[in-house]
Amino acid sequence: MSESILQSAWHGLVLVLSWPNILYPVIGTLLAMAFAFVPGLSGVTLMALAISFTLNWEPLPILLVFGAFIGGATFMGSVTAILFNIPGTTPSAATMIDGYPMARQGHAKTAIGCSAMSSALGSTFGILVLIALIPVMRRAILAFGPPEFLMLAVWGLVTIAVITTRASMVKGLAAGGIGFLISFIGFDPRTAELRYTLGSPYLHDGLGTVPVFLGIFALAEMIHLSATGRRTISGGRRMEELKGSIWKGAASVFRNFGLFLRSSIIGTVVGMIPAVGGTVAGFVAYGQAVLTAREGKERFGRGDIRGVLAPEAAHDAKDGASLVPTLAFGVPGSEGTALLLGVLTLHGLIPGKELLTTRLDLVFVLIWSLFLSNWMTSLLGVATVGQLTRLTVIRTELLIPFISGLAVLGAYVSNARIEDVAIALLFGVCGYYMKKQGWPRVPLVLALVLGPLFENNLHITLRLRRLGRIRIWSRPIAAFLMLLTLATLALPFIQARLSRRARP
Amino acid sequence: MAGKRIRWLVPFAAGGGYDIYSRLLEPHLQKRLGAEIVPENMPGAGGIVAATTLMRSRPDGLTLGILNAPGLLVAAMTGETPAPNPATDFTVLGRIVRNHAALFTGGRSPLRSCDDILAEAAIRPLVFGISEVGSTNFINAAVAAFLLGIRAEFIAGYPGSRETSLAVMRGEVDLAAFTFESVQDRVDTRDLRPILQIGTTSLSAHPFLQGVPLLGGPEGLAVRRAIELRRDPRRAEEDAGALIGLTRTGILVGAPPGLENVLFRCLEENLHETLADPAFQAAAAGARRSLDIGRADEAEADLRAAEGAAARFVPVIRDVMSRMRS
Repeated sequence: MSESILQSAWHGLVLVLSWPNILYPVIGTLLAMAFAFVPGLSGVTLMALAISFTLNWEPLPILLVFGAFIGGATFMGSVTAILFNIPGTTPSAATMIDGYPMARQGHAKTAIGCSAMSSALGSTFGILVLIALIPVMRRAILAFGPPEFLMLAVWGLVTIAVITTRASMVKGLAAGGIGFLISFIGFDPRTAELRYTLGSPYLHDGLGTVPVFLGIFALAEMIHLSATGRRTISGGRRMEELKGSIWKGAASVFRNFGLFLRSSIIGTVVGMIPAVGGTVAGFVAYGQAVLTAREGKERFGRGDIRGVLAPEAAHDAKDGASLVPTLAFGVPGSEGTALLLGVLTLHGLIPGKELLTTRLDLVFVLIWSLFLSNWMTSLLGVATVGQLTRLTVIRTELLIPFISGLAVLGAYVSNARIEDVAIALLFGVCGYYMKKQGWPRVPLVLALVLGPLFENNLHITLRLRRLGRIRIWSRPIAAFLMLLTLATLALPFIQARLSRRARP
Repeated sequence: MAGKRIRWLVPFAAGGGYDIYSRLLEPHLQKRLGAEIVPENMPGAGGIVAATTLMRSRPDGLTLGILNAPGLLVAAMTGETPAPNPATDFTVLGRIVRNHAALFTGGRSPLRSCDDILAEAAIRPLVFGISEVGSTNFINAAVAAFLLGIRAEFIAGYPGSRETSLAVMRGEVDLAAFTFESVQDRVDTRDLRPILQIGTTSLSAHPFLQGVPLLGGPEGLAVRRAIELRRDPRRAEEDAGALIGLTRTGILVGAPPGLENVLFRCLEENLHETLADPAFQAAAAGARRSLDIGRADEAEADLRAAEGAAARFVPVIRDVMSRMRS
């Protein structure tokens, strides 16, 4: 690694750790954790609010604080996924699949301990890759185009088939199909035609992910808790009866280190893809955890710790990776980095070659702040796990109105439109009935998120091919993703055949 | 307005260009009015959702907004999407900046000048990248292609102008239209090359624009191509002027229609003073946002001229859109 990069890295680290600079990432992390823990709010909400407050700040504290915001929100979104079956962010939905069953079995501490360690190490991996890529960041981003985005979307969609259990595979695929269909609602960017908007300008951009998400998970869960009359989330257990151990959870990352590494790689590579990398990363990592499990596959979806480890590693590794397109070309990798981009521009820091050469020390301030924040949230999360798991023994009559109110508020706050609240309520009811009838909800949300990525890039790729602008078979990254997709599809059948042969 | 709370509608997501202008304006306008300004991001339908909300708000001076005038005019003009018309459906308070558009190729593209473009277009259709059909950049690209008399294919669906610029840089499309300011950083790093300015005078004093031909004006490329293709050069000059006029309506500040005169004068005057304030202009320069401020009457005159003139190339736009749908 060149001397200037090392020098900038060192200088950036000194700036972050010096007094009083260190206060910014610490306070920023605490604020991000608080926001991310509340259903309906998120790190993105905090960043949007902070833009006005920080308008007159110098660039250095801005980077310290916003780096902490990005890093601080991820882990706490997973904590709500584990404790309440309500993912704080879309990528955390994958953690919910096994995290919540663990909480219901009284193993919330183990799940949170695993999540904390996996998050911290996964984010470290992503940041190391980010640093290593600095000299070649621009070339790396230009290597991804519509065919690669298309294959990524296909890989993500194929994962739906993998993550649904055999018992509900048909329902899972059907839910995914419904999500795919409703992703077509809105303005077709290729032809300017409106599809299924019922004459309402609100639907021109399709259904917002945030209100659908809040409805189908948060509100549906609250309706279900109310309808089943469950006294507490952990089923009436007292704190003393809760099993589980933080250290057992943390140690599981090292016991499954191969899985952790694979998931971190997935999170890093996929996280670099603008717009939807974070969501796909968690689910694809979960899917490969299921596929590559040597034993106990049937435990996935019922509280298997590997089902927490894999998505957590992936979606924290993506934090660093999502900065790559943002810093290299000013193309945001997520909603959070879109806001970061705005903040950088407001303060005269224009992403691109200039920032990566003459202001590299400031880039490292951002990176170190993100790193510090990721570890802080994991350590604080572990330190407060006792208090957090208490929430699983609070009476639902108290929890339900509180969380429902926050979810409704969160649906409105995202875009300041009352229609978002209506959508959240509608999907709340739909989500409840889906849960009651055993229809998995995750495939619907995943397909809703991936549908536009798939459709747009399919059309662009086909158009480019027809015009002779690209040769699909000469694109190694797309070809590799295609092979991965085929392997994801074929592996369950190969494994079933091998295990039938192995039986006497 | 002192002590009041003003809702400021931003038609695109936080962090984008319109949001940045709003955040830059916020503290300075707040100080002048003595009112609290609360930016509210309301993305949707290319700015139409926020514009419609602004249009339907009460004209009490407590709801203002920032408007994408070319985008709204285009939507109203083509009639594809119901949209408020900025020329008639708002009380315009002033202009922040005019848009200055140009056509760009990639830094590594073999197409390095307009002559290269015209020579290549004689052999095969040129491929333009766009984000959305009906967007301002699409209109610039489609009409410029028509005026140059080149065969063009349009590939739409890139998520935004930055992703479209990556497509140009990767070489999968030949050209795209952007506002110069939005891609200036990539021009500076030679990742993008401007090859045609959509204007009658140079868009800025930027060194990479020196020698880049102009589309409009009596000596512009539109007229020269019309002569070469035996079309009416006067009509070509008028069409180019209409396109440039549309683009230059720019980013406006507006209020709901029917604002009382007293309120209008207060808001318009304070907005103008804010935009002209050296402190605000320094902040905009620091954020590398250019300004080309104009008072309400000037902005309205631009809108009326653009509305009338732009109708002339609706058939061109509709033709391209129908080809893309087939």
